[in-house]
Amino acid sequence: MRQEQLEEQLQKHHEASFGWALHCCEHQREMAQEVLQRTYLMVLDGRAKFSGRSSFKTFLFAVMRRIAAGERRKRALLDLRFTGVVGFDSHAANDPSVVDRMQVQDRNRTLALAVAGLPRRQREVLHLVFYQDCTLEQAAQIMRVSVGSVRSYYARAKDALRENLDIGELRHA
Amino acid sequence: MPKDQTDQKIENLLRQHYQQQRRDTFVPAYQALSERRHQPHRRSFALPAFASAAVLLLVTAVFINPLQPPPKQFAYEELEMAIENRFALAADDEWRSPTDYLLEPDDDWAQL
Repeated sequence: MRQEQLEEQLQKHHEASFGWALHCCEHQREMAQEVLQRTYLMVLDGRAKFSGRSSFKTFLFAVMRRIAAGERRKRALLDLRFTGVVGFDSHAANDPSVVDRMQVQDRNRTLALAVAGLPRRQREVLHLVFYQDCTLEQAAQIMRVSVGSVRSYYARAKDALRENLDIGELRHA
Repeated sequence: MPKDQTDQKIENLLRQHYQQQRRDTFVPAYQALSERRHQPHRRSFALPAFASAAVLLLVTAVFINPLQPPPKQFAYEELEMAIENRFALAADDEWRSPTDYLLEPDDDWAQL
């Protein structure tokens, strides 16, 4: 793919990419911008090469997910060095500030809390399906797992939400 | 409530939640992120770490040299044996007073 085509594709998916970057970075805006910029530079420099085996969006999201994972590890190590505490996923998920950063309205707050309490991979599937309008196959390609695994994450996430959400709330939905 | 129905409700709720989130997200301009920002040169820790490790290895090899056999212990046993032998030889000698040597006629004098 030529440089101009790459630029065009990146611009086309920019908004969705930022949403995915925010999700991968636990809604930390500054970190998401850093991750997104590094992704763009890697794609434009040719360090991450698009082979055409999947859609460009899938490729871009997979690269970004990988960079974000590296960044999270780096920050967890820094946390460990300076505070002696490792930031586990569950810790971040149950942290009310993370939920606050999701900027949800009060009506959705219960749902936001329930979603934030899910394991990382289940949250990733939900984000890809409902925020990015990806199919489960595309989500599997982005997450580099089998479609069966993604189906299982998706089903488990819904089961967990069904258990956690008040039945009355579901009636009003 | 049947499972299919709750599934549908949950999916609707999730769709609303994520769409709201998408609307609320303020996206920075593409140009701001795609262009290489002028950043101060980040100090790389790889080279200094490698250099330090190499120097440490060199110092260890030259001055400590873990492959070299440990220095030989002082040979107490050998010394002890030597002393014992010396005393044994001395004991074998017939004891003679220093005067014996003086009074002993010297062959040369006798010739004279």
